Amino acid sequence: VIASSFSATDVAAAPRSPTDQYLVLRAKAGDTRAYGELVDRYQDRVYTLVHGMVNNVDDALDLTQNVFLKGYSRLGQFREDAVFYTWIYRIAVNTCIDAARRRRRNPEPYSLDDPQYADNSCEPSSSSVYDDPYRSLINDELGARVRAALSGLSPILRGAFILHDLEGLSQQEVAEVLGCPLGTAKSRIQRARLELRERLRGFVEEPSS
Amino acid sequence: MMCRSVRRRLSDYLDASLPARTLLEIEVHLEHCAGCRREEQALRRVLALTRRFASRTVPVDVTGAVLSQLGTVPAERVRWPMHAAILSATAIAALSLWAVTSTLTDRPQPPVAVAARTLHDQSRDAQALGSDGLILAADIPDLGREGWRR
Repeated sequence: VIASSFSATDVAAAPRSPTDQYLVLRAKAGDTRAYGELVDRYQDRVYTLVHGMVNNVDDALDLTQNVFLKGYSRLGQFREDAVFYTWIYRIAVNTCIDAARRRRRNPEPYSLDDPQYADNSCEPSSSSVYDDPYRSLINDELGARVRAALSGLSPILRGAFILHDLEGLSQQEVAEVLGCPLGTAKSRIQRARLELRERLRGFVEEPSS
Repeated sequence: MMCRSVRRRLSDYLDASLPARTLLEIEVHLEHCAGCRREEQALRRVLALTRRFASRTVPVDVTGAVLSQLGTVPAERVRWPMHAAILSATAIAALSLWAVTSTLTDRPQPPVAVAARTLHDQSRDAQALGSDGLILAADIPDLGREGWRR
């Protein structure tokens, strides 16, 4: 019924900056370009979450792709009153948990060729503007410490922290994505922040006067 | 407010997810307590650093890769949960029984009873054909808007 209610001419009549809800409706009707627009909107955010959870570039890319393919195949289950990004984040979190379970069952041997040991793809873009190599080096070192501190958190705390403090979800939305009570989500966010604060103690404290 | 309660609430304070009065009390405390102010500043720096260094941009064209595979992704069929299946089966059985008794007594049948019989027949046919036992929303007959009247 929905599919027949859209025609090719509707594409031209589409809003210039269509809402997620509109794009989901079109995607449900079989408009793959509409779904592509949703992927375009959320690929960096989903990738940030997934990479934060698995800490490996290749795995994160594969899983990010899987998340959006799963999302497409499950569009029929998307409720009209749902929010697309919390819905896709939930799929992302569950996909990461499944991947971690699989990895525990079939652990891969460590290899020095593993991209995670030579991962430079995530350096801040502003790094290149530094003309001062010393400053650039400090910047790289700091970035590596921050990422190491984040990956040192337990997956439960890391997920809550990334969703709230990197992706900007509210505490209530974090609870919905993680499928836990609001109080639990708040507590995880707080514990993650305090743990990171401890791990980065030397970098975030000013000497007391 | 004591330092201990302030530090316990600093995370919520940064999110402004506390009652206005508590936020104000913490603000007043921070103005006068250098130790708690240092803690608050340290937490703010943690958030700034992680946002700066841990946010990522996907390094390849995920959209293109996903779009190229969309044609091969089948839509997932909705598998009814066990309790829903039991409830549905009970409802269908009850309605079928009611439909049979109302036929015997020559009473008009409500559309829902007709639909229940259709669904029952489809289910029986599917079993005979060796179906995988899944019921799709499209398999459920449209009951229409017309309510049943005696």
